[in-house]
This record gives sequence, structure tokens and C-alpha cells, in this order.
Amino acid sequence: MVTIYHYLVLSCILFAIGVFGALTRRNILGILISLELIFNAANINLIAFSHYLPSSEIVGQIFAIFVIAVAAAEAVVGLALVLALYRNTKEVFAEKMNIMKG
Amino acid sequence: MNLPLMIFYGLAALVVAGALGAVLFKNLMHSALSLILSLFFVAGIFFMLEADFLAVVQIMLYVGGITVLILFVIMLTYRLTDKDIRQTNHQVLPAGIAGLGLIFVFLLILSKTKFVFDPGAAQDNSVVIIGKLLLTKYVLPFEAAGILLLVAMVGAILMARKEEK
Repeated sequence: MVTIYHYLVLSCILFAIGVFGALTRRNILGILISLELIFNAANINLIAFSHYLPSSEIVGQIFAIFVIAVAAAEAVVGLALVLALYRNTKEVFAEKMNIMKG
Repeated sequence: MNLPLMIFYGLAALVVAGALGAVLFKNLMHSALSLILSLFFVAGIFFMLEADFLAVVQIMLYVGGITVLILFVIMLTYRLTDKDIRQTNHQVLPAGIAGLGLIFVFLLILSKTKFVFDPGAAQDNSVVIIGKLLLTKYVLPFEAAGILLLVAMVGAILMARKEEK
């Protein structure tokens, strides 16, 4: 039988992989890809709790819908920023984006 | 071993393999395609949790929307993502230790927690419940999410368009 612990362990592994990617990538698009993995780990967690724990409503799924909406907004704004930076500086690497440094 | 457990392990292995590919591939194009694989099987995990509406939303929005957007931007900036350029910074070892430490801490917390289980609550069709809740109890966050998406769209158009001379 699949228990809630299976889903929680899967979500924790996915989260750790996402954190590793966000810490190690130089390319800012790679960091955005890792962020999507982290969002999905959180969503698996929310839906697993909503499915297994006693509750009259499926509040976890509602919360996951809002997480997905915010993730979509984040991806759109983030990619537009990457494009604007690329047009101005011809760079996509995170360590080169220091034009606001004093 | 029974069938749901086997299906779960298959899906989980594919999700983790796709995530590892998304993080470790040198070529960012392969990395984004690997992300599509991972997100697609996360939708399978949602189906196993009886969240059918969210699984479909996951496929439509993540697999069909966000990853395609990422692929577009990778292609627009492609000359700088060639495979002979270093794609990782000098923190691979500390980041690996941090990731493994994170997994260790989470497993420690999980092993010390007892959850109260719901003995098989028979669920209605989740689309009906979500639709009712979003338009009654959670109507204010729903409208706020709509405004957020509108503002994000306008901001993205403003930032990504060509500047006129």
C-alpha cells in the first residue's frame, strides 16, 4: 500500500535536487528550471497531505492551484527579465549580472 | 508487492531521473526536455493522489506552457548556452553536501512525526468541489490570483518588447 511517507520522501528528494541545481547553475535559465522543480516538490507535498489527512475540504488542492498560478507568473516575469538583460548585456550567466553593484 | 506500489515506484523513478537530468545536463536544451519528462510524470503522481483536475492543469500549464516558454528563451539566447561553455559554478561540492544534508534532515523529521490518517474518505469528483470552493469560500484569493496574472502579463510585455528609438 502506498502511504503518505512515500510521497513525502519523493517530494523531499525532488526539493533537494532543485536546491542543488539552483545553487550550482551558472546560467540563469538553469536556475529558473531548478525553481520549477522546487515548486513541484511543494505541490506534491500539499496534495499528498490533502489526500491523506482528515479534512472535510480539499484545501491542499486549492492551495496547489494558487501555487501553480504564482509559478506561472514567476516564470513569465523571470523569462522576460532574462530576455531584457540578454538584449542589454549579451549575457545569461548569473555572475555577470552585477551592473547594480556599487 | 502490489500494483499501486509498483506504479508509484515507476513514476517516482522517472520523476527523479528527469529532475536529475534537468539539473545535471551540460546542454541546457537537453535539460529543459528532461524537465518536461519530470513534470509530466509528476502529473501521474497527482493522478495517483486522486487530484485529477490538478493533474490536467499540470500537463496543460507546466508541460504545455512554462517549459515551452523556457525552450523559446533558451533558443533566443542559444549562442551562450553551447555545450563547450562551463555550466556550473565552483560550488558543486558544497551544494551537493547541502542537498544531501537537506534530504537527511527531512528524513529525520519524517521518521519522528506521526500523522493522523483518514480512513478512506470517499471523495466526490474533485473538479466539482474545487469549482464550488473557488467561487464561494476562496473567491478573494481567486480574484487576487487573477490580478497577479494580469500584472505579470503586462509587466512581461513591457520588459521584453523592443525599445523604440
